[in-house]
Amino acid sequence: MLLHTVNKSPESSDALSSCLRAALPGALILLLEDGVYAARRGSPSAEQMATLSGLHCYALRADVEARGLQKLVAAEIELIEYADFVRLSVECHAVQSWY
Amino acid sequence: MSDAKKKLLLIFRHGPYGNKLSRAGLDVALAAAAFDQDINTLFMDDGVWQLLPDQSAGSIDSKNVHSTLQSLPLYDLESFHVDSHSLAARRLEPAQLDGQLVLLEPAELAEFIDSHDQVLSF
Repeated sequence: MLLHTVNKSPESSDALSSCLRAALPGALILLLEDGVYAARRGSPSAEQMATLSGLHCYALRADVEARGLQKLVAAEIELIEYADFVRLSVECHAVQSWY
Repeated sequence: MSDAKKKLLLIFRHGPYGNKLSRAGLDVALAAAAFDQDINTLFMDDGVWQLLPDQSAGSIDSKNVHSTLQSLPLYDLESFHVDSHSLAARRLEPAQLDGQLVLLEPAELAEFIDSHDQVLSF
């Protein structure tokens, strides 16, 4: 299984939309840096991630909190720590970064 | 370290001259090919512009990305995989691009990427 990381906001870049086209069901998607803006509850990007079947969506807590988004994150998106990022990177067979 | 060959995928998602990514990716492709690795390339998003012929990068004091791409078949990197969605979004036809192309339809893209052991993004 692949871990996809996305570090650009969905409004400024096609990184996330391309990632979602290229992710298999069951894939892991981690939003980090400006990518965490895609985690906003009710945003088109968060809704798109919620409707795609079997995706596991995460956002890096440090980047979410740095941007003041902690109360705005969609319920389907799990906030994780750096240590979790490392663990997911090891558990997946490859990491693809969309930037 | 296992001696088994790994399937390596290089994904090019950025245009050829706005940054150094394309050159870096091509350097990796040439280095990996020199070590006889099993490599595929995938061009998607603005990366498809790298395959446009008639680039004359001398006009901006750059090395021609397209000429380097043309040299890849010498290293047994015969074909370029291309995301058909990215072409359509840019009103590009495969015939306008150079090289031996393998078009990937939207339904094939995810499986193709997942079939590799390592993925590098440029």
